Amino acid sequence: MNQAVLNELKAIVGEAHMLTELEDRYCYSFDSTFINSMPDLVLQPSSRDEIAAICRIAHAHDIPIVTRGAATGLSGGAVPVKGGIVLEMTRLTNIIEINKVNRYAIVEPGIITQDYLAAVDKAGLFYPPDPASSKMSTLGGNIAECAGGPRGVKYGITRDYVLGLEVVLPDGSIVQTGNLVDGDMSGPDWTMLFCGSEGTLGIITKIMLKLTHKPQSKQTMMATFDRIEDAATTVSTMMSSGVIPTTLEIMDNLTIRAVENFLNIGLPVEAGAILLIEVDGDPKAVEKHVQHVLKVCEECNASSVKVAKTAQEADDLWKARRSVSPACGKINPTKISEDATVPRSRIPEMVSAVQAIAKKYDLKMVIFGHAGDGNLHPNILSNKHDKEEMARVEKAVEELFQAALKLGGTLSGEHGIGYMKAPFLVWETGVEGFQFGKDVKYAVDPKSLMNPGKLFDYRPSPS
Amino acid sequence: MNAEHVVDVQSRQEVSDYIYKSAASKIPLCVYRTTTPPGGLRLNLQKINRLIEIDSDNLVATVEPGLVMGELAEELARKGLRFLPADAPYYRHLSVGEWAYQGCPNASSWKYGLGKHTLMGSTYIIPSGKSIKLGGKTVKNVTGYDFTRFLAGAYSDIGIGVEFLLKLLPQPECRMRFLVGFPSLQQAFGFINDLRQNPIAPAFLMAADAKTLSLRLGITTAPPILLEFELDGVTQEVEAFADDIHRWAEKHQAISLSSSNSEDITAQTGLGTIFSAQTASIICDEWKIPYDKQLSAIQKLTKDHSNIGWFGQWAEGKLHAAFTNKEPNILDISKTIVNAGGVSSGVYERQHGNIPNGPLKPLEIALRKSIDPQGIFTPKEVLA
Amino acid sequence: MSEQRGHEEWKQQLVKCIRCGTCRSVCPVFKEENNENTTARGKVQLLEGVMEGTIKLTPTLQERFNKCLLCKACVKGCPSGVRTDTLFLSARQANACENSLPLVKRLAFKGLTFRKLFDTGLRIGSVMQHVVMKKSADGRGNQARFNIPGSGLDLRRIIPPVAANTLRDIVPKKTTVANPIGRAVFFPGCMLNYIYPEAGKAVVNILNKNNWDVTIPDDLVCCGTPAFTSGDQATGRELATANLKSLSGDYDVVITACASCGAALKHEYGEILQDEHIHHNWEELSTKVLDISEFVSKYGNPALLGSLPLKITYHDACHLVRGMNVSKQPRQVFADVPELDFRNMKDADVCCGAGGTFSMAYYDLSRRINDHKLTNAEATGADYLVTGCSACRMHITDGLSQRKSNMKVMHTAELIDLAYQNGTQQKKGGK
Repeated sequence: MNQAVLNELKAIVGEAHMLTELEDRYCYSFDSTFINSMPDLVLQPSSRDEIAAICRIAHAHDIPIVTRGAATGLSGGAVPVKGGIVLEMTRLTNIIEINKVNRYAIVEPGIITQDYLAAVDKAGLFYPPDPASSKMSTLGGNIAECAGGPRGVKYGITRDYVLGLEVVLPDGSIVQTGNLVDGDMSGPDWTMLFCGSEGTLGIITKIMLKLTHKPQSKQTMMATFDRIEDAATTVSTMMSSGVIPTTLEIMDNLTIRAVENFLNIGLPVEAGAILLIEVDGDPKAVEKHVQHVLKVCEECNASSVKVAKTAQEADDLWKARRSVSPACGKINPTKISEDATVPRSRIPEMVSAVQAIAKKYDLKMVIFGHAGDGNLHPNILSNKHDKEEMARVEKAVEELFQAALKLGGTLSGEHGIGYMKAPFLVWETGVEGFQFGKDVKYAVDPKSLMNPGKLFDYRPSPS
Repeated sequence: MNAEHVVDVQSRQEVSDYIYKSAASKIPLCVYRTTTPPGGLRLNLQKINRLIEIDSDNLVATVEPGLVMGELAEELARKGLRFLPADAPYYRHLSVGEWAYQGCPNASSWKYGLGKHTLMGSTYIIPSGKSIKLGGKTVKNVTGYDFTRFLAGAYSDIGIGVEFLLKLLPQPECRMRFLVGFPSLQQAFGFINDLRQNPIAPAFLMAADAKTLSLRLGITTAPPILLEFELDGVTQEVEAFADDIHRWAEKHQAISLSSSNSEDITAQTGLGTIFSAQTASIICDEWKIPYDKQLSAIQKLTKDHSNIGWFGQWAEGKLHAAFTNKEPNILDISKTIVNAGGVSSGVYERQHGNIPNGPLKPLEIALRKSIDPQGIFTPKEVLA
Repeated sequence: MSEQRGHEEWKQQLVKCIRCGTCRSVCPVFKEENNENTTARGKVQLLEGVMEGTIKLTPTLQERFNKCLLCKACVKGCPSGVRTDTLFLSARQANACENSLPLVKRLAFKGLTFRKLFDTGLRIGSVMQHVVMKKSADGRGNQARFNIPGSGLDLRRIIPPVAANTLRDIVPKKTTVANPIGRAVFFPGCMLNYIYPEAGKAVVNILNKNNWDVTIPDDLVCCGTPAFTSGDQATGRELATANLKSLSGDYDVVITACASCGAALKHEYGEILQDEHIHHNWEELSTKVLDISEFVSKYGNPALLGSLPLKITYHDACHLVRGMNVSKQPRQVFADVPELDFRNMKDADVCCGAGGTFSMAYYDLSRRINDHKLTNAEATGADYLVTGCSACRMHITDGLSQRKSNMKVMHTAELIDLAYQNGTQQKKGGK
């Protein structure tokens, strides 16, 4: 980037918010995956208009832009694989409006999700999508990746709550999509296209979100099974017979052992699987649903079910699930979290496939995740300094994808395609679908400046 | 509507073939429109109508576009399941394909979410003539762009849907339907206000004024405002909710109230045929208005346009119009709506073959140039 | 430290980082600066870069590692257990070797090793301070009259005066009791010796009242925290070795009343001492180290506590709560004091922003971090803010003066001593 361009950009954000030193750019070369790639420049704009001005300059000089929130993504979406500008959005943190009567919120994308959730809660309302990263991740990142979270099976995911967006397009023009009433307009649904577009189409500068009522009551249960197949059957049966739980988390035997080793709280280390179940809603409904869940668990051969009687007990039941990450860290430091997702009825087959792959490539893998929507997280526990093992990890991950697709599943339930899964995207879309994706991308970003090298813009490097 | 401009297609391959022919001969195609593009052809998909699969374990139904929503609903009910947009009475007359084409209307959106989120996936034949598979049976899917919903926007005309994966839910234990009449908009909205404060919403709520009931259903003895809604859930919660309903109805001076258990979903309902009726005309899904501005807006519209009946999902700001003979002054109505903070969705314009003006128009034109350069689904002027 | 060994130790820690970014949600510096170059994971990656050779030990890099409070919030929050505290100290050491520290710092740290010189210097300072310092408007402390070169003293900053009499002046080297339960050796540290000697006296009173003998060896030197946290491990080692020698003896406990000194003696010395024999001596000593609030909680006689009807809140100094795992203990003691109205503040264990020399190099930033602390403290409605670290005390007092607050600050030991005094009086009165 020549000095003239740098000066123009500096004039927009100010010297303090343009990072050029190697030591600083290095800090912006990664996200929560294990790939690194240096940006040429980091810019920290404070407003939509600054962003539009930056885009105009980038567009004129063919400079790629990689939009970045907290960079806690697991697919490489915020890594500048083709260099260019990293556009850090974390200065745009205003909550513009929370409208209690019409039940919507208008927010800037850089706000930390947890801060937004707290503000909504304070206003007496409820925004259900709560990805695990919510203490760090930004709403803009959630929208760009269409984040999920454990409440997805009952309440849906981020896109279910997006009513509209303000987006800065690659040439610096600004569009508004959707509406504050129900989000539905006419013609192609641009809101739904930008949601989950992983920064490859435009830069989200304002988000309109639907809010709903807080659930009145909730009940937490933990069921233990000798066989993971029974846990999976319980999941399907429970849902098709009338109860859609708020949360349905599964942990396989290896996960249970890892957590028990870490916490020493008396988890059943011989069990095939544990299910953590939560139901919420009207207190009468919850009471009935709990009875129903207990009945289904029993019918599906649960060896035991524990119902939390107090908020503390519920918290204790959740502790095991929350401790999975640190527990895994104890086994092997480099934890690679995958999220190949399958239809819920095929969880047992996927678990078998994962176990077979682990054996084939001699890797330590644990399986846990959101059983209610088939979103399993097989985690490979390895050590990145062991180059030979990492090569096996790569092959194993590929086979995981193939297994999921073969079972009618998808490459990603939550984390997005980004850079990490881009080479395999065509396996799922097919050649025609991939071309269609490229054609849509071309329509919005003909110069391919928005987050190049990701999603449909992936090109295998000549090796 | 000219019969010679409509063709029945029997298979997906035929759809593709017509697209290839269209590209070669420059005859534009459409589906489900009442106004075929000049010199164009409407493909009728009603023969492509299989209910391919009901997957109870994964709560997904795989269907073809010609399948009628009412048939689907009954088949699902037999298995103790339901597809929300088809479960409420209003859209049963549509085929699944037409429902998706109209933008997935859903009377149950207040409680269960927008209709477009009941689509888990689909197969579309795109202007290249090829078939692309979108989404899938997994509840969570963030692979690629969200084409499932992008293509299912109302009147998108980007491709032709030939298969749909629909999200199912179990039938509730108990359902109770209400028909409550109010003496005025004021009281009706007072009642809806109370309903909205309740932590759980009704499964659906449809409102209509007397003019609409007269125009569409030929009912001349209707109360000034009629609300039809359903409560669903476990028996105890529905019964407790019903008590509240009676209380609120009295509080807001309801002039009539009837209720019935509605587990038999084919039972006759009050407003059920309001969308399917053949008398008079309707403009749907055009106007959305923030909830708290609705009362005053509808009062003004009623005053300014005495020949129009108003109805819709008023608890959510969705407004439809019923009229006979003279076409309403759309611009004037839209102005009232916009002044009250609402929006015009552009459905009406698209139905007449235009892309609405606005900052999204250039983007849409760029899109069509990229994916439909031959103008199979796109008006020629747009591609010029 | 050999570069090879350093890198091996780094590698062990660095490999654990999964870049999850949880450190972003707990770091007080990041919360103000909103910049990935201030996060723990950012610094971890920079060290990976150093190991690969992509990043060099430049002054710019040195600055990135300096802009850290070493508050250990990231250590506590990290789900993978990366020891960022030892890692960053080690990085500062590597940087200091490569780039050398500013002359003023090098001289100051060297000065610390000359105990008599250091002592004399501070005594002179106590007498001469009004030449360069003027009394602050609220009388709580002093402000620099001008920009004293090399001092890093912001003109707004209010610091306590050097005490006219040091702790050693007002307390004898050894105090004995009639039938001692045990023998304590007390390491007061520089702050308690030269700036807040009354708090040091309170510690001795507490120990005596509980029937413990107390010795304050007269050849103790600075604990070394300012030196080794800046990267001067050589000086740190020298001071540590001298202190170890001085503290060895027939003592049952080693008492500290300064969070930094306590954490240094109990843990950090173990990281910087290399000689096997000295390291072994340290291991033995570290088991005896107790913060005064730990001592009172463990060995103190609750019957000694008289009623003290004060409204107080408590700030958990980083080196106490995360450095020494001391946080329940002072609260246990507060619960035992009759009529004491103790209110827990929000984020009581978040760093106050002092960070030792951090507040000098980054005064504005440390002010902003401190302001959150004070807002939380004021929200409790307490009249007194109690804390067990004198560096925190100094920074918090500056903050209270800046915002013209009436809230007062005292050391945990001073509070306990007051309660003991009341206890004695009330017993006398009650008879």
